Amino acid sequence: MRRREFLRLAALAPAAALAFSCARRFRRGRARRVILIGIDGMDPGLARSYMDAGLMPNCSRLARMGSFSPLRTEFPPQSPVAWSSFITGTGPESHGIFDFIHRDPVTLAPYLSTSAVEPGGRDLRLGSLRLPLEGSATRLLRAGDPFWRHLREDGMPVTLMKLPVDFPPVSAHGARILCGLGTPDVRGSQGSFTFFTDNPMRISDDTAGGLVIAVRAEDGRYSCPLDGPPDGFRDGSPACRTWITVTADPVSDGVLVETGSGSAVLGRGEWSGWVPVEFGMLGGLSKVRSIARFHLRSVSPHLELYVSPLNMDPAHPSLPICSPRGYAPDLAFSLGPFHTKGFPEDTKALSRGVLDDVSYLGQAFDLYHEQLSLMREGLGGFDEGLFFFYFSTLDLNVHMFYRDIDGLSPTHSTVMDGARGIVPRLYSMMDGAVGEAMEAMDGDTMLLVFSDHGFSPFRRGFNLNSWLAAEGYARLFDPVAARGEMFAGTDWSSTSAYGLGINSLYLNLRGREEGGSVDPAQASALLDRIASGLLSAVDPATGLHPVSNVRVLGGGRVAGLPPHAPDMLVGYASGYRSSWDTSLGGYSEEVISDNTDPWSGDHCMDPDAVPGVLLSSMPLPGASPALRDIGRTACSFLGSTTLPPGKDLGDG
Amino acid sequence: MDSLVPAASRIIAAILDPVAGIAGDAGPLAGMALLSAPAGVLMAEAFRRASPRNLGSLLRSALSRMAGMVLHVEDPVTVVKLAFSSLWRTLVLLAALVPPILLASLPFSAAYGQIRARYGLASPRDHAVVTIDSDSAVEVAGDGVVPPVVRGVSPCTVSFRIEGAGRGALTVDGIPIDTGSGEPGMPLVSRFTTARTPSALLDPSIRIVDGSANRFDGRIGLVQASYEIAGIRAGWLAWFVILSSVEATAWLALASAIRKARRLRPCSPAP
Repeated sequence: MRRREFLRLAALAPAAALAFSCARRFRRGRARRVILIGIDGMDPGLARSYMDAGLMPNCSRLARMGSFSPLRTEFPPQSPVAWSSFITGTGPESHGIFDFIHRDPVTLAPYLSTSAVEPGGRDLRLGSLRLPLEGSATRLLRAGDPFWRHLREDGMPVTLMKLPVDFPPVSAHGARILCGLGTPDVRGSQGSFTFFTDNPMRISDDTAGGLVIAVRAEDGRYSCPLDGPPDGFRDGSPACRTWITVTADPVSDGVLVETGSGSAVLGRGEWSGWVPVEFGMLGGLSKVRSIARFHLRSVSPHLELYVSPLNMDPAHPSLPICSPRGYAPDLAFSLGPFHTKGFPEDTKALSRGVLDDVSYLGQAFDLYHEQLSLMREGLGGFDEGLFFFYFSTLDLNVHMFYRDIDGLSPTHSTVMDGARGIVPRLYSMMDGAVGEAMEAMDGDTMLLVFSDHGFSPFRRGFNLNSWLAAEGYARLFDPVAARGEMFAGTDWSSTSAYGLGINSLYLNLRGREEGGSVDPAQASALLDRIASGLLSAVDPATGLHPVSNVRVLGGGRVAGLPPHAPDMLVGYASGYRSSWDTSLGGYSEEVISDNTDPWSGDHCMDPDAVPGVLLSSMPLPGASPALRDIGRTACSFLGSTTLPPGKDLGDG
Repeated sequence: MDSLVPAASRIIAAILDPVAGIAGDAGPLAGMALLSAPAGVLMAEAFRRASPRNLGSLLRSALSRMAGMVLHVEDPVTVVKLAFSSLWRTLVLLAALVPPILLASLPFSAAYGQIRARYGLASPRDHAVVTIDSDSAVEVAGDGVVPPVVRGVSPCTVSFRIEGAGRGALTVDGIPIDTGSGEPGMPLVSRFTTARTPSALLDPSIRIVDGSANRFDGRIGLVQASYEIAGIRAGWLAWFVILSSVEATAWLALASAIRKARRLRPCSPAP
C-alpha cells in the first residue's frame, strides 16, 4: 500500500467508526421517530364518550392501532407540577414544583413557582436614570434533568414546541425548544389585558386579570395609554408607556387603531390580527417589541376596545423564549407573528366580563389554528428523533365552558347560545390535530397522544383558610377585615396552619415562618389532625365531603424537601376546589360557597378524580401508565443508550 | 392616465421589468441578485472613475501616521505631532472620497427605489390597512375593499382594509389607483398621492395621482420583506447591499484582470 493511500484510509477510519456507531445506536431503537402530542387537560371520560359518539375518528383509529388508557397524573394535578414530572420523570419532591404559587417562608409573599426574575446587582445612577452594570436574569425554578438530555447525548435530533415549564430554556442540551406554559407577557405577568372604554358603567378599579382604562374622545379620536414592561433604566422601574390612537366612526361602526408601529381597522365584534406595539426606554435607544390583538366590542354609544395581553414578538423576543436563539424568529419568518405567552387564551377577560363567551371563543379558535400551524411547521422538517408539541386548547377553554356540559353548575344557564356545545367541538378540533400528526407517521414512527390531567366540575369553592379558622387552626383579630385580603388580620401567634396556592397547606412552623408558632416536634401530629379533619369535613348544602384525599409531606414524612415545599397537599373531591380567595391567602364569610365564575371546570383536585389520557400508535403492555413514564418510554423507543427515571411502558 | 408614474421611474422600470419578469420564476433573491448587478457595477465604476489617482497613497499616508504613533508611544511629543498629522491626512482622505461616493450614490439611489418596490415590500398575511389623509372626505370603492370604512372627522382621514395588496384596483373619488400587479418582481404600491414628491421620481412604489380636485395622500400598510440565504435571515436592504457589493467587487476584479491582460498582450511584430 502506498503511503498516500495509507494516510487516506487512516483519515477515513474514525469517520467510518463514528458513522457505524451512530447507525448502531439508531438501529437499536424500536422506532426511528417518536411524536409526542401533549394535549393539556384532555379527559379520558370525555374523550371516550366523544370517540364513541364518532366525534373523534382519528383518536378512535389510534386507539385501535395501539392503546387507549387513563394516565396517572401527579399530586397535585396542576399543569406546572404535572408537566415538570413529564420533563424530569420524577415527582414534585424532586423537581421542586408543588403548586402554581409558592411562598417565601419568611415574608409569606407569594410568587410564581416556575420562574423568577433576579434583579441585576450594581448600577450607575444619574438622577432618576439608572444604568445597570449587571443585567437582571430570568431563572427557571424547576429542578431536575430533562429526559431529552439522554437523547441529545446520543446525538438524536430533538424538537420541543410550546414546551411547558421550561422558561427560560436553560437546559436545552442542544434541543430545539420553543417555550410554552410559564412564558410571561412583556409586562412580566402571566397575562393581563387592557380595556379602553368611555362607558362609566364599565370603569372599575379592579385590577384582577387586567386594567380597565377610562378614555375620552376629542373629534372622534381617543388617545389611549398602554402600559408595557417595567422600565429598568428608571428609578422604581415604572411601566413603559406608549399611546395608541383610536379613530372611532359610529356611522360605519368601526375603528382605526394605530399603535405607532402598526395599525388595524376593526368592525364591531371583530378581532384584529397581531399588531406590533413597541415600547421605548432610554429615550428610544432601547426597545421592547411586543404584539397584541385588538377586539372591538362597541363604538357607539360607548367605545369598548379590548387589547390582549402583550405577547413578546417572536421575531424579536425581549426574553429567551426559545433555544437556539434564532428558533422563534425563524418560525415567525415562516409563519408570521404568533402567540408567545404561556397561557395564550385570556380566560381572565371572560371572567371579568370584558369579553363575552362568543368573542372569547373567537380568540380561542384563532389560537388553536396558530398552534396547528406551528405543529405543521415543526412536523414538516421532522425526519428522525423526538418531536413534541403542546396544545393548550382543551385545558383553558374547558375550564371556561365546563358549565355547558355540567347541568349542576351554578353558571350552567349563563352559556351564550353561540357557545353551546363547545366542549365536544373542542374535542373534535383536537382530534383534527391528532389526525394531522398521524398523517406524519410512517411504519417507523411511534405516536403518543397524552394529557397531564383530566377534568371535573368545579361547582363549589372550599376556602381552606376559613375552614382552618373555623376549626381553630387559625385565629383572626377581625374576621370582617380579613375577607379578601391576603392574611389580613391574622393573629400569627395563635395560627398553626394556613393555605396558599391551590392545593397547598403550610404549617406556621417555628424557625421557618417568621412568626412561626408550631413546634417542629409537634408538626407530624398536627398535620394528622388537620388531615383527619379535612377528610371528614362535610358540605352542609350537599352533604358531600369536599376533600377526598390528602398527602402529608411535612413533619418529616418526606425527607429532603426544599423550604418552599408545602406541608400538606389537599385533594378536593370532584365538584370542589379551593376557593378563589384561598390561593392568595384570603378568608371568606362562608367556608364553602358556590363558584359563580365562568371558570367552571377544574383539575386541581384529588388526582384519582382527574387522570389524564394516553393514546399510542403501538401497543403499550406496561400496566397503570403514569405521566412521568412518558419521557423514559420515548427514550427507550428511540434506543437511547441511557434512560431517564420512570418506567418504560413498552416493557410488559 | 390618472395614476401616473414619474418619467424617470418609468424609464428605469421599462428596462428592469423584463429582467425582473425573467427572474421572477427563480425567486425573489435571484431577481434581486440580477437587478443588483447593474447597480453594483455602476457604483463600482463610478467610484473607480471619480476616485483620485493617489487615493491609495492617501490611505497609506493616513495609516502610516497611526502606525507611527504606536511605534513612538514612549515619545509623547512625536505622538502628538503624528496625531495631528494623522487627523489632517484622514480629513484629506475623506475629502478625496466625497466625489466618488456622491457619484456612486446615483446608481444606488436609482436601484434602491426599484428594488424596494419589487422585493423590499410584502403584503401582510391578513388584510393591508389603507389610510388616506385628505382636505375633504373622499369616496372609496373597489372589490378588494373590506368594510368598515372608518372616517375620521378632524383631521379628515379614511381608513379601510384591502384584500391582498398588489392584487387589484382601488378607486378613490372615482380615480382608479393601481396597487400593482402582484406578479413576482413587479412593483407593489405603498403610497399614492396627489402631491408631486421628489421621492416618487425614482421609487415606483409611490404613485402620483392626477386629475382630482381633492388633494389626498394615501398609504398602504405593507410590511418589510426579509429573506434567508444559507440559514442566515436578514432584511431585503441588507441582502441588496451584500449582493451589490459582491457583484461590484467581482466586476472590479474582472475589469482589473482584463486591463492587465491587455497590457501584457505582446505587440504585433513590426511590418
